[in-house]
Amino acid sequence: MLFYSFFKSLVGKDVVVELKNDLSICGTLHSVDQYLNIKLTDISVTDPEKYPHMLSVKNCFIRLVVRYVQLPADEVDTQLLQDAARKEACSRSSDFPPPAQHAPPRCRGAGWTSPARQLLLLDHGATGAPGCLGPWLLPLLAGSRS
Amino acid sequence: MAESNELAILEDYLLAEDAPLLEEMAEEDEEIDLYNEMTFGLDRDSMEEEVPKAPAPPDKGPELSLVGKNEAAVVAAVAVEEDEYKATEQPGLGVEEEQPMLEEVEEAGEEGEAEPGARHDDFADMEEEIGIDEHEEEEEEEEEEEEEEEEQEQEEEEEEEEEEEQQHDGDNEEQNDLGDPAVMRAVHSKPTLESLDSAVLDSRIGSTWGEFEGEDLMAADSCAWTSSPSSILSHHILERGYLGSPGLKRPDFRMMSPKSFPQRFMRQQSPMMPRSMGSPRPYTPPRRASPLFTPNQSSGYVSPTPFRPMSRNISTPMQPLAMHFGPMSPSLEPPLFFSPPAGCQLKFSVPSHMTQLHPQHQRILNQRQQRGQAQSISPKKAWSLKADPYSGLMTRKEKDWVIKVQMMQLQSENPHLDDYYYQAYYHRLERKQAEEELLGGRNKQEPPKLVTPYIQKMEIYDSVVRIAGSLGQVAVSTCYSPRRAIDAVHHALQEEAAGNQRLRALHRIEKMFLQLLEVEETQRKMSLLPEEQHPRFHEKKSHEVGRIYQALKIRACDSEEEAEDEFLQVLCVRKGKKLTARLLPHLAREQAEKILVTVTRHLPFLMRKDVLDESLPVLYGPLSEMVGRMTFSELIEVLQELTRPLAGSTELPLTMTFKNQFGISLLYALLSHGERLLSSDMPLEPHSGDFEKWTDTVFLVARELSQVPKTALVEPLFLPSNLLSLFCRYLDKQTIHRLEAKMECSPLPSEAAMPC
Repeated sequence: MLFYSFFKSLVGKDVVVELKNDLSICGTLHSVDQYLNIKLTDISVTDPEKYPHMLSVKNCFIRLVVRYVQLPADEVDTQLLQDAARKEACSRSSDFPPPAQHAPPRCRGAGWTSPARQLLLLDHGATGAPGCLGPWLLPLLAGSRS
Repeated sequence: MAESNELAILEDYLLAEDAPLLEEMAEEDEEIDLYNEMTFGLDRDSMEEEVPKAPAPPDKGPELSLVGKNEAAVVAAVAVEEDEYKATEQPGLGVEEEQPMLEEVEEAGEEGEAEPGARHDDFADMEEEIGIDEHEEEEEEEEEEEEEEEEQEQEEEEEEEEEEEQQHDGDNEEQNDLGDPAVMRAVHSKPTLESLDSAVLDSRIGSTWGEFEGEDLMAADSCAWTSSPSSILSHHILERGYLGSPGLKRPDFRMMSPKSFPQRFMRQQSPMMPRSMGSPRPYTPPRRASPLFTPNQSSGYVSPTPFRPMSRNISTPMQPLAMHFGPMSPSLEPPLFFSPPAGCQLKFSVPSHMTQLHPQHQRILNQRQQRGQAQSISPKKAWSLKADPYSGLMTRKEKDWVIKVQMMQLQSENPHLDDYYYQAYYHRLERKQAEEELLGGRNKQEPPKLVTPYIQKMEIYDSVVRIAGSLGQVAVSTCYSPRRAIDAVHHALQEEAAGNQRLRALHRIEKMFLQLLEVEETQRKMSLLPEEQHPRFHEKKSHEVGRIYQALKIRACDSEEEAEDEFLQVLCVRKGKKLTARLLPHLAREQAEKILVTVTRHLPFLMRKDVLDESLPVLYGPLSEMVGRMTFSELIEVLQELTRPLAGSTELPLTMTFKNQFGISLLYALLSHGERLLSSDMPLEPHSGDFEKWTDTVFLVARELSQVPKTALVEPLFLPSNLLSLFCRYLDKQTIHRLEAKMECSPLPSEAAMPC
């Protein structure tokens, strides 16, 4: 639910979605669902010459083909995102062993969940200072539960 | 079949911009196969899911299948079609078969001519293509659209058509300009309601079909089929009061019930019937995407592709409305949240009654919507009035049902945890705006009321089933562990043994971060609760904070051991600095002071390690606050750290601080605080020798500062204003002027320049 929650907070903001076929679409994020399908409104293609068929398209629904979503940096609170990831990792790892057996375990390093693991090994080099980087790329995990 | 010949002719004509050319494209075999497929090919429905793109057929389509049940009534209403319908009717077939009939009828209406039998294939084609559109809509794969877009020539269309029809034959694998085999494959499946979500539709819609009859008659009666059926449509739709949501600015055709289908169906037919087949309308701008369905949506509903460049003369009358409905289509996705597109001339609906937005978010979106309304929409007007025959395919009940299904997946017992980012983000935004309001007296903002969660979870299942006396556990699947067969528990302790120091430090930091998050959570809960319970939470919180402080393992160490010291290792990592910075406000005074002393003592080490990261400034805020609370003696103590020569050299840490932004800022903060203390009237209670040390320090700083070349001097995060007065007290005018020049390298940076 983390990225769903994250994208929900970006609804109404302008984003650029880069698809797996290298098409980049700039538009206003209209909605997102729990599968991270994206609806954009008022879109424009960043390279109109290459994709003339997109000239007349105003809104689109993008499903599962997203490679990147470029976000406005000032709309993202990276600290909050980190906290959310930690909480999710913790709750996920505590969900894995049956709760009946253990007292709610504190996060045990979350061996199998990627968010916590990545957090452990990263020093947030890339996510540390969004403001100075301008719009930064957020590679989407494959689905909100990977 | 004689039919197929006619079918071929009509079909080609319909689908191509240049009708006469298409007439030559008739290929009987394909027609026959297609027709058979359409009529009997019930098992093809599953293929519909993969249908990405195909030439955008004229609208109509599957909505007709909805009408299927009342087809009799519908058909009856349209006199002209009746005979054709009967001619092609095959009793004993299901609704799916009726569908091609209906499409036939419709198409006949649109064309205004054509032999009865010929309509079959046309409808079939359209149907297929509609089905394809539907999927196209669903999947929205850009590349396919792209390909389709490029196929503007009717020859390509014909090819596709043929290929689609021949698909199941397997022959004629001639290149499809779409280049996507999936496109071809999917065509044959007939988008029918029954094939998908039949449970939904049958159970819920059945009752509403009865309403069609009356409406059909009404529709039949109502027109004056003018040349602008769209106006009629909108008129009727408005009449129906489909504007369920209060905030809608335009009729939301998504909200329309299937009742309207027969209306539209007939409207489509009548105006088109009298029209000759002479010339297909030139291609009008692609229709807007009609309601986009969630993946589990029945693909029986077809929506026209917006990207198909082929002219659909059938659809053109509807196009004036298409622009209305298309962009509004996303308005009702269940877990989706709505924002009116900025600048879009069609006001997106406010969120449906089933979406839940944070009030702050809602306000922002509304503001945006208002701004968007003010913008001009003239360039788009031309095709914004076209009708969208695919809008309103679902009743309100159906939509709510779908929304409910999706919402159920998202409901949670603990929305603050599951939806943490969203809630916390808007909460903070609210607070910031509230502060701004207080400061600036800016704007209105009523107090926010958080929206309560929606559907209550009905059942709670135990993910672990334990049968007494059994060995192991019963295999129960949950959404998190679909195949958990054994009771495997992960014990993560190996990281500690990992030789990598950095990894260990990171691991520790993460653990402490979780504790810190708990602390902050406790803090938050405490602030929400009444006063009586505060002590309990406070105690719990301080206990936790104490634990974290212990985990930090702050201890005195020499400069030789700096690399080994655990606390310093934590501080070398950016995450660790952030952790410390966030922890400092919660710490007791002595603990915070100890951290400050340690930081100052090892400042050169930290500065050296921070060259790449430059994340030390994150500590500046909390530390300077800490400094502001110190006593004079403590201050002196800290300053001593800076003025003590480094081991093994005569260099002072002081000189190094000038080159580091954090260092110089900290130094200035310390000096400024000292000056403040001295110039205030408060009793300082200094220890003996404090004042001497103070003056010594000041002199030292002044000397170093004057010696450092200006270019090497780094701008501090914050330049306190009383530094000059401090120097005035002790130094001569000349030195002061020099120092002043040095320090004022730029206008005073504000606190806001500091990274948070």
